Amino acid sequence: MTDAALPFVPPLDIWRGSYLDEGHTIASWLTTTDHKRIAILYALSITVFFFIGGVAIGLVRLELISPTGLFLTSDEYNRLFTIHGIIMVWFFLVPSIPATLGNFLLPMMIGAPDVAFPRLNLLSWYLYVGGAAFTVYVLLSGGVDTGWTFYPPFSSEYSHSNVIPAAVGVFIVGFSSIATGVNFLATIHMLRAPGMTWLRLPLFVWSMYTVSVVMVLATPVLAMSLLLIVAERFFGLPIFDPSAGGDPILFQHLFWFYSHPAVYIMILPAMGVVSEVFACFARRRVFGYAFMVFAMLMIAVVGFMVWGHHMFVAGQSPVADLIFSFLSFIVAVPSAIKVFNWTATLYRGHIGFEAPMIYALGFLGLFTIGGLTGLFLASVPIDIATTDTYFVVAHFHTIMVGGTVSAFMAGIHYWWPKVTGKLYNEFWAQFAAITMFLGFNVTFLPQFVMGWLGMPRRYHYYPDVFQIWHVLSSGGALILAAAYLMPLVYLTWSLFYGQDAGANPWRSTGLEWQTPSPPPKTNFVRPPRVDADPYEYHDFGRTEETGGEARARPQGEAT
Amino acid sequence: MTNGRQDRRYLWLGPGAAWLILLMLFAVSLGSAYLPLGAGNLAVNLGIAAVMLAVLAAVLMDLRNSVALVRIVAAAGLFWIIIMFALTFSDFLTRHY
Repeated sequence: MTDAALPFVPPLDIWRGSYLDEGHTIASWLTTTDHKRIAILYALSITVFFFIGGVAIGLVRLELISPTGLFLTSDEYNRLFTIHGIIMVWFFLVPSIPATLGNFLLPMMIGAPDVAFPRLNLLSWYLYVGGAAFTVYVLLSGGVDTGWTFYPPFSSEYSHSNVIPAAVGVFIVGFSSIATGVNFLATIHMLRAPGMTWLRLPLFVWSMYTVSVVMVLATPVLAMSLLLIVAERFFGLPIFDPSAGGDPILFQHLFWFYSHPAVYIMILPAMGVVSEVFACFARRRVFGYAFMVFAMLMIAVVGFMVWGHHMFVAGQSPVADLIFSFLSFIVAVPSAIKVFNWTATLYRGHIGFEAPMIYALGFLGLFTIGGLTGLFLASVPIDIATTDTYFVVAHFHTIMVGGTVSAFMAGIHYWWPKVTGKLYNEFWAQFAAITMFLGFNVTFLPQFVMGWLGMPRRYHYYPDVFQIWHVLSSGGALILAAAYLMPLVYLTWSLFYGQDAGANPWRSTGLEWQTPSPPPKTNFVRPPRVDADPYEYHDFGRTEETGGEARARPQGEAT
Repeated sequence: MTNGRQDRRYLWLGPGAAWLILLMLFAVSLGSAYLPLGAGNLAVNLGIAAVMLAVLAAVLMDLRNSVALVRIVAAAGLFWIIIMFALTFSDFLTRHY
């Protein structure tokens, strides 16, 4: 364990205003190397793609109101759910928390003036935009119909859609992930402030560390497997073609070696966000800090060894089925540790139900449901019965949307005053959080039921008996859409008319809150020094604080 | 000036030589495929691949001049590839069809 290696000595005359005042032209934004501005660029980009992906699935849900379809051909339907999957996985969920909240907050949380490689950080955004350009091209030129998984032989031989541009887009955006991961790892190792020892790192920073390890180690395999698809489709190399000695299941091994850890790329940052929010709004030290760290590390490592549970019906050998099933049960252990520790953190806390906390509590419930239904799917016989049904769809959306998006919204609301210096309307934020939780459950609980009853995924003609569940689910999607649109309105409103937030409106102990809002370009006016553990809220209740009797102890001084 | 020349040599000479060695090994690998060695073909190809890996790691990844932390990171990458191969072979080697 070492203290920070590189000294941070900004000139004392640096405080002239916030990072937002460092240039108001488009060029100043497009050439910035400030991690906070790059975070904003990412936030705007992924928001655009979130809504494109949302419109695609909105059309799918509208189509599914009728058992015989309403307005889409089968081919159009296939292309819509494919583009929804590709956009939501690679252009929204994977970069969502790391590239926005992570980029903005990680250096501030460890007391650094920027990330270790600021230009690489900007390059990662341009790579994202480059990959996104290919995806927009795919969208405008008719789409792709392989599903987001690109399984051969359909993708390599039979599909008549834009497989290669779609694969190239994902290939490029993968390098954006790798660049972010490398940058975060170097930053955490090299740029911690004096006193910020490893076991004083906030759990959000630990989540960024573990997710960076996963991104750096897993994403190259995705790039390789997509290149092999391109090689087979474009050059005719028979890598996955069994008639020429290839093996289509090999692709699934390679693809899921990335794509199952990708689930942890999505959920580990979410775990980091809610750990911060629970501690702050329950005014409690995080229960079992060291266990929370080791649980994340264990998820990152064991998460690499479970991918075969996606292939129980793909022709994988029964021996491998059993190995992967066992390992999949094992990975539930650290996840359960985290859920119990969050619950223990809340126990006897002085809980405030501000919007970030409502989103985080929503995460806790939905992540638990998503995790428990994951255990169903780790069991070989149950998985065989439910593979490619809506049960699987509901399960992974409960983790990815119920979990990651809830936590992302919690993080946006929690750190919004820090990022913008403004307060949003708390009533509307609470209303949106509750609406999102309700909308999510109305959308996906019916999918669990109809999946269990045998409704297959990716079909848009279906037996009448499932119609009631589809109508319920589509109604829920409408509520969910409203819940996503509301923050756009009141957060934008707050930018112009919101009250000034002050440096630390939540009275949080984190280092990022000990600097002005919005922060100066170098994050801190003076070099920060850390002299306390994170989450020193213990024994300080909300009542005492508001009475002015006691204050939570900041992790360090930096203003 | 001398430093600049040394830097250029360092930047180009090592990787250039490594590239030539990799091309040569590729040719050997291709040529060995036409030799009737039976199961020996696989052994030869895996051996050549191991040499290629060593050249890549030592020269192109510059691990020969790296600090311990960088070598640990590279070793972690190797460990992860071993996980990938071991678990993938748990399928391929136990299939009876």
